Amino acid sequence: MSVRNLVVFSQSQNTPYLSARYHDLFGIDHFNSYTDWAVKKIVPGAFVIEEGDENYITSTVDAIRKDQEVFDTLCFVMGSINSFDSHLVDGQLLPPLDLQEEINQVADLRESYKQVDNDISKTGRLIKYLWLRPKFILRPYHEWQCQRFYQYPLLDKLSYDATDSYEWLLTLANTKILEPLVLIDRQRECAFCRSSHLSFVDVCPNCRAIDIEIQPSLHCFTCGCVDIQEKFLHDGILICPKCSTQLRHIGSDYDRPIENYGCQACHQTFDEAEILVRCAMCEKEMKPNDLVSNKIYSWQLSDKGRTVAVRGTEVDMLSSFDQLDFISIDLFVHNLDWLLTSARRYPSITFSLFGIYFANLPELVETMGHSRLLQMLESFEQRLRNMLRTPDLSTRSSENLLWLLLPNADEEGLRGFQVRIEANLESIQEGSEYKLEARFMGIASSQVPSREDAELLLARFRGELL
Amino acid sequence: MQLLIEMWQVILITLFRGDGLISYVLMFIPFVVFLELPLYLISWLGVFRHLVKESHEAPFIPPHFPSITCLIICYSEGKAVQNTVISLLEQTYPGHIEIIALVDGVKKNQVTHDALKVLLPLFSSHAKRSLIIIPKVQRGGRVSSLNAGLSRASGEIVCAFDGDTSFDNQMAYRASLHFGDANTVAVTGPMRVRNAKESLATRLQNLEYMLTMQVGKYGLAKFNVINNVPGAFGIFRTGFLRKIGGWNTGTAEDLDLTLRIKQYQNRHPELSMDFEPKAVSHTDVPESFVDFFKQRLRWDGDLWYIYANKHSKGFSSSLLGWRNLIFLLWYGVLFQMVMPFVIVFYMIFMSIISPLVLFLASMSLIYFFYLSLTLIQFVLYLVFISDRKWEDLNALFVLPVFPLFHFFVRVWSAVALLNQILNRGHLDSAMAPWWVLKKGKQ
Repeated sequence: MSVRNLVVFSQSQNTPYLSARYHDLFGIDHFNSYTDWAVKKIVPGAFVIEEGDENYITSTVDAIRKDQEVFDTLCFVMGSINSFDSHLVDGQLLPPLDLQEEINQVADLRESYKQVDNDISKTGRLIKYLWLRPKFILRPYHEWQCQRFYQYPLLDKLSYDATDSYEWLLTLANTKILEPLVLIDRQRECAFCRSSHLSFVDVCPNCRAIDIEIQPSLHCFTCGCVDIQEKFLHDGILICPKCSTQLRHIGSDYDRPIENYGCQACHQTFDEAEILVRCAMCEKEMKPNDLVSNKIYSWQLSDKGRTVAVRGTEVDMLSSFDQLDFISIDLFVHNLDWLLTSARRYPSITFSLFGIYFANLPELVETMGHSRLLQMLESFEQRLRNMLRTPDLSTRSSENLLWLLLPNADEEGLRGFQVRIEANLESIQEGSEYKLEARFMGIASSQVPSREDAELLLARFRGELL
Repeated sequence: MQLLIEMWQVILITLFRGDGLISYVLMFIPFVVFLELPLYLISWLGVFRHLVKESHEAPFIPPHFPSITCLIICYSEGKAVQNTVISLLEQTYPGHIEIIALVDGVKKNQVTHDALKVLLPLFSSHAKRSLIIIPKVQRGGRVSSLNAGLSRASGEIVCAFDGDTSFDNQMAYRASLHFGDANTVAVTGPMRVRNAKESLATRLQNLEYMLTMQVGKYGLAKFNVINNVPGAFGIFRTGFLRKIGGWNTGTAEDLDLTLRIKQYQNRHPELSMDFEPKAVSHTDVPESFVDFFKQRLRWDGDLWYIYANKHSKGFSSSLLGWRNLIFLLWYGVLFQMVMPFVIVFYMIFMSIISPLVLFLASMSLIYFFYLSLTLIQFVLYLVFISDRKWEDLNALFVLPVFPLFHFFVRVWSAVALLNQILNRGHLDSAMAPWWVLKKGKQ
C-alpha cells in the first residue's frame, strides 16, 4: 500500500485522468473497472471514480466496500452520485493538497489501529472504517420501497452476509460500540415481519366488520332516550321516539351524545371505532399497541469503539487487572478455608483478607470515557501489583469486586496495606476531575468469628461492601 | 282600607251624577276605544283566522329546500355566539345552510372571533352546513356587516341574525316553506326571551315579547301589515333584497327595510311579508331595568328618526297602498308616537283637575282594566299560540305588575321620542361608529 498512489476508475477509455497537479503529487494508476484493478490489487491511498454512468459508479463503489483489503480505503467521486452511494464514498474529490493531507491523516490513524488477527470480523471492519474517519456519521437512508423505510448502506456493504443489518446495529448499540447522535425518526413496525408498510382501518369493536358509518345520534333530555337521529325526525320536526316530546332547541331539549358510529353488519352503536393495523408485506393484522416502535438514529463510533480500535479487542474494564494473575474463585475460597482452619489450630499462622470494590465504574464510563478510565485503572493495577508479594493470592468474584488473600499479614500489616493502597489511589487520581470510588474492607484472621467459614465470610464482606 | 272604600264611593258618585258616566267614560275613549282595543282585536282576529284556516285546510307543501345563507352579525358576544352557530348547525332543514359570521371590529373582539374559529372542525361532519368567518378589521357597524354578508351570500334565502340569538331546530324548515310562494319576500317569527328567569326585568320583558312579538306580529302579518321584521331575526329572499339595494345605513335598519319593502305595496300588492309561528328564535334581553330603559331609549327614539326624518315622504297611499298607510298612521304614528305623549299629558291633566282620591280611583280603574285586558290576552295566548305552555305559565306571576311596567314603558317612549327630536339621539348609537351614522339620510 502506498499513500502516494491514487487509483482512478473511469468508464470510458479516453478521459484525461485528473489535472496535472494531482500527477505532481501522486502516482496515478488508471483502471476501467474494479475487475481490472482486482488483477493487480494495487492498494492506493485513495480511490477516485472519475466518470461513469450511475450503474458503473454503484457497482464500483459496491465492489470496493465489499473488498476484503480495501473496504476501508478513501474513495472519492467526481460529478454527480446517487443518494444511496453517497453514504459509501468520502465525497467529491478534494483539491490536491487537501487530498494529500486527508490521505496522510488516514494513514496515521491506520498506524494506530490495532488489528488482532487477519480474519477481521464485520464489527472489526466497521470499527476500522469509522476509526479511519473520525468525523464520520452513520446516517440512515430513506427508501420507500425498503421494508423498514430506512437502511444503513454502509452496514449492508460491510456485512458480507445479507442478514438484517438492523440486528447487527442493535448489537453494536447494545455493546456500546456505536452511540446514537441524532434521532431522525420514530416509526412503528409490524410485530411479525418488522415492515413499516402498514395500513390502518377502523372497524367495529364488536364484530370487527369494516362496514361502519358515522350515525348522528340524539339524546332526549326529557326521558334520556338515546337513538339515531332518523328515528327522531318526522317532517322536519324532532320527536323523541320514546316519550314523544318535541325536541326544539339543542342544549335545552336535547344534545348530541358521544356514541356516534354504527356498524352496518351487527348494528352495534359505539363511540370509538377500533383501529386495526394491517401489514402490507406479511398481510397479518394486529392492534396499534402491538406495533413495535423503532427509533431511527444517526450513529457515530463511541469512546468504547475507539478503545477497541486502539487496543485491538473488546475488553471489559477490569480485565486490566488480569495481570494480577487471578486464581479462580473456587480455588480462592478453598485456600481461604484452609487458611482459616489452619489459623484456628495454630495461632502462629496469621493472614488477612482484603476486598476492593469499585462502586462507580458505569458512571465513570459515561463521564470520562472508556480510554481514560482504562488508563486510570491500568496505573492502579500497576501500583497494586508492586504492593503484592509472591504468595499473595487474588481473585474477582464479580466485575468490579477484587479479593486479596495476604498470608502472614496481621492486623497491623493490614492497616499498613490499606493506607498504602489508599495513598496510591489518591496519587493516580491527582489532577483528575473524576474520582474512582473504591471501597476497601480488610480483616485479619484473628478477628474472624470462629463459626464463619470462607463462603460466609466472603458473603458478609460482599454485603458490607456493596 | 279606608282609602279604598273612599275611592269606590267617589267613583260611584261621579258615575251616577247625571251626565257623569258619559263624561268619565269619554276620558278613556281616546286611549282605549280608538287606539288600543281595535289594535288588539285586529291582532287576535288575524291569529284566529290563521288558526282556523290551518286546522281546516292543511296546506299542501311541495318539497322545496332552497339553500339558505345565515348572516350572523357579531360584535362583542364572545362565547355566546357559539350557541347561535350550533343552533343553526342543528337545524333539521334538509337543504344547505351556509353560515356567514361577520365579526365587526375584529381586533377589539378577538374573543368572539376565536369562539367562532373553534367551531370550524364541527362542520366537517355536516355535509350540508358550511361556516364562513369574515373578520372585519375596520369597524363599520351593523349595516356594513349585513351588506358585506349579502354580497357574499350564495343562498336563495338570506337570514339576518344577531350573534346572541339562537333558534329552534325547525326554524329554517318552517321559514323556508313560506318561500315556496314566489311572492313572499320576508319572513319573521316569534322571538322568545331566553333569559326570562334571570330577573324581574327579564320576566316582564318575556311577557311583553309574548304579547307583542308573538301575538301582535302574528295577527298583523295575516293582514300583510306586519309592523317590523326585526333585525335580530329577519329572513329575506336574496334576489329581492339585492334588487332593493340591501340594507340602508343609519340606525334601525330593520324598520327602514320593512318600510322600504312596504313602499312597493301599491305597485306590487302581491308581495307579502309573513310570520311563521313555528320558526322560533331565542334571544337575551337586558337583565337590569337601567339597561332595558337604555335599549328602549334607542329603539323608540329610532321610531321618530325613521318615521319623521327618513321616511316622512314615504307616507303616501301611492307607495304604501291604503291598507298599509292607514295601518302605519294608526299603529306607527298614533299608537307608537302620539300615545306616549297623550298618556303623559293625560296623567298631568288628571292629577291637576281631579281631587287626589278621584285621581287614584281612576288610576286603579285603569289598572284593573289593563290587567284584565292583559290577562285575557295571556290566556288566549297560552291556549292558542304558546308552543311551550308550561314554561310560559310562569309569566303569570308577573302579570299583576305588567300594567304598571307597560305604563312606564309608554312614558319612557315619550322621553325617548323627545330625546330624538331635541337631541338627535340616533347619531348616538352603539350599532355603528358615528362617522358611518352621519352618512345616512338625516
